[in-house]
Amino acid sequence: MGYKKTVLPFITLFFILLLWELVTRFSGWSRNVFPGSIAVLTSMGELIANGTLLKNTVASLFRVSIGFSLAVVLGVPLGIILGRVEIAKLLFNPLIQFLRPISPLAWIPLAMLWFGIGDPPAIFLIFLASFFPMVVSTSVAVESIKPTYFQVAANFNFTRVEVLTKIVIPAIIPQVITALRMTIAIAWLVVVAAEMIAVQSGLGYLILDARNALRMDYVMVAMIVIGIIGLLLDFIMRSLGNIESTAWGRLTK
Amino acid sequence: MSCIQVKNLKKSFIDRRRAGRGGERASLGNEILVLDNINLEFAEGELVCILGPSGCGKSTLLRMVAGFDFPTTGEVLINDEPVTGSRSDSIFVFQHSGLLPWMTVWENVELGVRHIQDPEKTQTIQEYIAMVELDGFEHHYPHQLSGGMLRRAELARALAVNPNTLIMDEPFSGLDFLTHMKVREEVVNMHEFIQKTTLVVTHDIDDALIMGDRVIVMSGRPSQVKLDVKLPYGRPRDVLKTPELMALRDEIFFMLGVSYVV
Repeated sequence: MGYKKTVLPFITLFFILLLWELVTRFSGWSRNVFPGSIAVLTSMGELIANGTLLKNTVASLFRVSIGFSLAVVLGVPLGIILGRVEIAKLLFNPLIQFLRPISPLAWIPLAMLWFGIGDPPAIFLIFLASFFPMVVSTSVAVESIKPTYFQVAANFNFTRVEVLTKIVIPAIIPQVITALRMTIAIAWLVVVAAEMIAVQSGLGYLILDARNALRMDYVMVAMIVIGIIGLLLDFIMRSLGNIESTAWGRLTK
Repeated sequence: MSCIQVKNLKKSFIDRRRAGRGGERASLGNEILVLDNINLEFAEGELVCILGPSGCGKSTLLRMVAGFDFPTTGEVLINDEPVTGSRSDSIFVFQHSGLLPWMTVWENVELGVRHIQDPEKTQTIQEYIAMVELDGFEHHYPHQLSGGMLRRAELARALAVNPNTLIMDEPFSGLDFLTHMKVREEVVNMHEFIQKTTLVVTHDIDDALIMGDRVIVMSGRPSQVKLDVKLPYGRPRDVLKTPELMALRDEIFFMLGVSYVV
């Protein structure tokens, strides 16, 4: 069973690459417009060898980690406050619900004006894209904690700090992990767009630069790498759910 | 010394469904009287079983004794002091597991004694876990345990606090027949051992007759005490072979609206 799980996806991959190559060979399209899989893989080798790919991937990952971490560090506590304190919810929830549907991309002009060129505007956009989902998911998670747990806390004379550390935080962890998975995917989507505008590095920039040079093979290389990194990020977030004390969340839901 | 007193207690809820959108405004909802003028006294060490049709407010009564909820009028006194909130000398055992799912059995049992700095604490916790036959499961999480083990773990957690009162809301609901009997036996043994006031809400008449020092039957809404009898029989007791208990059983069934008793 184990080997089937690892081998079968690669069989699909192999046939996709084969089909792709065959289509480009017999479709009559120019190789410049629709490069084949062999050409793209060769170009990938080139970009790996000259360091371009590594440099741009690191640049993108750097921005995502900073923007995403900021969003988590600020968004989760705010979500907890909104979920626990009625007055805070009444004050801030309408504002959050109003800002949430505004695409982070709509902020690009302001972000560039405020933060100039370089990492800060890109990080700001990733932050915006991740912050609202984290706040909303966390506050929903807090509100859905079973009242029984708070009664247990009262019965065993928990202090306010203990209610936070022994009830609220552990109770929301399974849902927060799910939110992290969804949110990092959004952040990874947004970084590509952000890098097409304000910066001179990153996978988004690589795509834009390759387009300007009419190198569709490089565009495709960047797309493939974006896909692979997305998979890895999801895998990392998902493995947080394997921590033993959070296993109850998977089983009872 | 009398331990728990319920005096002239009335409890009503606002029917929010009929109250519509402005439900939080009391004047707009229909007030539903759930408990009507309840007067009860529970002696120290007594094991009291409370029976009643579903929705009659027996759980609500327990919750008020536990300090999770408060009477609309009247009061609940424990050792002559009004109950103003939940306190750790009366431990509540929840209908569906009240164990914290992110903590192991050990951590759950430790909750009630977490502030105690005593080198023998570890041993005490171990003893309580052994008492409910959960040795070997100390480091399991609740979701890894069966229904009966969950109830027993919660009993161990309650006992570790050494409370004056144990309050159990339907402690056997959702258990299969054999587990039900086993956990019931466990509760009886435990009561025999600690001799603390224990209030048990149940819908099972046989549970009440087998376990109780005293049985209270409540009527449907608005609920009043319909029957309050002491059962001066030793435990373990055989209801089938005790004619007085069989007569009482028929009477309670009839009282709860079942005239065809099997």
